[in-house]
Amino acid sequence: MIFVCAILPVLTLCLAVLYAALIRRFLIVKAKLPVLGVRGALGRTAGRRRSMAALGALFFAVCLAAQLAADIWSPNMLMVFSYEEAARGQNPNVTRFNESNILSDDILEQVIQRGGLALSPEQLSACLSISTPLDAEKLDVSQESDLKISTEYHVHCSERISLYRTDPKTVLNLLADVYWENFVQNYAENDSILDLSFEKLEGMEYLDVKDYLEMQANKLRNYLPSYSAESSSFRAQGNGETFSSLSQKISNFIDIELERYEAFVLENGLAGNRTTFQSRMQYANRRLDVSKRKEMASHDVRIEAINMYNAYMTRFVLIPTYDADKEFYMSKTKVGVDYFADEAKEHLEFATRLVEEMEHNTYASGQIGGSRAAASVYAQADQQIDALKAELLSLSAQSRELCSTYVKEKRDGYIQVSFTGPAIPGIVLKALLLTVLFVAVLGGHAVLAPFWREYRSGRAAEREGRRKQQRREEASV
Amino acid sequence: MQKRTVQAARPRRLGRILLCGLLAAAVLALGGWYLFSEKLEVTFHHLYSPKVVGGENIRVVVLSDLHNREFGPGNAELVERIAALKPDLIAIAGDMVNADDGNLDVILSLCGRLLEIAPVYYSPGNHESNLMYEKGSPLEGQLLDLGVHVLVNRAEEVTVNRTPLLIGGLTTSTEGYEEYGASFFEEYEKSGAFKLLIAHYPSLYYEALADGAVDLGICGHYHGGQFRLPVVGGLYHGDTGFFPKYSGGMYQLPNSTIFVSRGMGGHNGLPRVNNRPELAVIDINGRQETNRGQ
Repeated sequence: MIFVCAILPVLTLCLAVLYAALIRRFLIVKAKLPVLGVRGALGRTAGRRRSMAALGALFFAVCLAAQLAADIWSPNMLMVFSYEEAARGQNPNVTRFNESNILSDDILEQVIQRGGLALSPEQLSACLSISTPLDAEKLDVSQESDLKISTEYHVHCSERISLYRTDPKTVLNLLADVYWENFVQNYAENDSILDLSFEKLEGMEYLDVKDYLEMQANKLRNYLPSYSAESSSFRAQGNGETFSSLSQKISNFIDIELERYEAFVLENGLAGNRTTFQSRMQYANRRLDVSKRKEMASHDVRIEAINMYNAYMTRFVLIPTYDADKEFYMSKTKVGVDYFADEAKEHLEFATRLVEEMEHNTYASGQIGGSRAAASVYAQADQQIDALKAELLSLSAQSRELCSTYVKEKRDGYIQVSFTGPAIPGIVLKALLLTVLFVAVLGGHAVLAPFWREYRSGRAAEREGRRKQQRREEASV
Repeated sequence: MQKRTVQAARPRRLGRILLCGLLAAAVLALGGWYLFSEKLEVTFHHLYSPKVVGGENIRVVVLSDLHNREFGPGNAELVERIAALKPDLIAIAGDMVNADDGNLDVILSLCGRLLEIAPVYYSPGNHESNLMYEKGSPLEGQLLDLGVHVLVNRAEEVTVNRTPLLIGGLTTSTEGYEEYGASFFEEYEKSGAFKLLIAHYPSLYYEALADGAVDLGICGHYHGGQFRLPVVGGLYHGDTGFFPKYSGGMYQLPNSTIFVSRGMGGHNGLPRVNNRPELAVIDINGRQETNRGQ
């Protein structure tokens, strides 16, 4: 195909050579070129017009076919970034968009690797070029309104790429794929958090299973609100779920299903290894007790500080101010004692929670210590775990489906790639122009032909005369 | 004087004829080398599918109609090229052996090496069917022992890069479709996963599967129409006559997209003209292509 692409440049070169020859002949014979003679010579080309027209038609057909084939083989790729943030020069995740990323070394290396191409990133980079429709515009950087951000990029791959045993369209396709993948992975929504893993559940204590599943469920629940805020009314086509309804389902799973499972485990005192579990609970309670005592000490210090305050200092101050509606009101300021009171309350609440946890641990340890659960109860618990896993997986699948449907609509439109077909009018015009030039040079040669022949025969006769004279001189000597 | 001019012009004309002859020979040699080249050609194809999860890409390498041919000793060149392409799965669309010589060494050794690169899904063609069902060849068992997924009118589920795929193999020809393949395909078509169907005969998509919903159908059999004409495509195949409808490349059907491999070898002894052996790579991802630039 590289040979076909070379046809047009070769023909253009031939035209240049023909014009150079014509100019040379014209300059040589111009002294013997009477105006009337040229007119007569033009008349004499009438017989050659048919062959010139045939040659012109052939030239036109070759130019047209070669240019058309080259354009089809080596199209331009148009990348249109059509998401909302693109016009502000940003990626979908609101980071800064960088045009040079499209042909960055990292991307080019991936293109080479993916296509198994035998060239270096530098060689590939030399074959690729990128432009935007704004490149042609003259921008006045002093005027903010003139600072436009392009959302369309034309990528062209030179025909020289065929020297590396590939073709431009393949390279552009690979580039589009690699860039799109990188773009989606680095700058668009990432839903890998919806991938649940239950590998760690193997050999886990029955009570810990509940905590682990709760953590996984919370991952799902925390992922959904961001979409819910964007489009609360979005509904999946299949099951009619919305982000908030799915979030509620996950909450129910945590508050009802997991709590029920925990109650079953505690009631029957189930544990994989009773002694280890009890020792762990004892250790946990010791640590919790230390934390509780720290919290209570912090609480007591603040209460003591409050008691030390002078009554005069604890009076609040009213400051005149305006609210959001520009209405005048008296604002009550907080003084040091208020902050102490708030902190003391926080410490006490935290200590209370720790006590609850310790009580729970003590209760669980006691239940497990006195348990005589049969194997069938353990089997029942295992079944419950399997059911909980299945339900969580189902919730994850529903979340993924809903998010994917929502994101897909956005993601599909992020980058639109298309390949530009040959511009027929332009190609025809170019071929016509070259043909006119070709016919003109042929005509020029035809017009000058008799004068050129005359010049050549004159020179030949001159040379012959000189040779004869030389021979005569040699004979006389 | 005139005699001397004629004598001088003769060697000049001879030189011109010689030069033209040399030029013509060079053009012919170059054209012949290009047209009759038997060098392996890697072709890349892109398929958009909304079923592909996230920004992942699924790469399928397609092999078909090898007919016991070898690219390099022990198909080393072929294996090397495939390994460099890093496929997620390898689809074999049948006719890798010849029914008349029964030699299984080439395909068994090739599959053994391919399995080190990616999972191999093999749907037998007419030559394998002939060997297995008429000559009692143990090919299917030996392929299964190696770990190849041999798909004879059945499908297997697999997840590639988080996307669930249902890879099916339809072995029957058009004539036997109603009897052997219809019930399988009806069930297969119902799946919501990405359906990749390997069926040796492209003619199945002429009528039987013309309206079927397959995300990617992979075929072979036509050897690219043996002679490939620019723009027009394949010239001939014994089953269809001149200009087979699907002779090589990607085709968009009402509810499906099919890829017809030009194959890698031949069996009828005819040369492949402008039809180099094809190792096809299909990248399936969520990148949409529009015709805005047209």
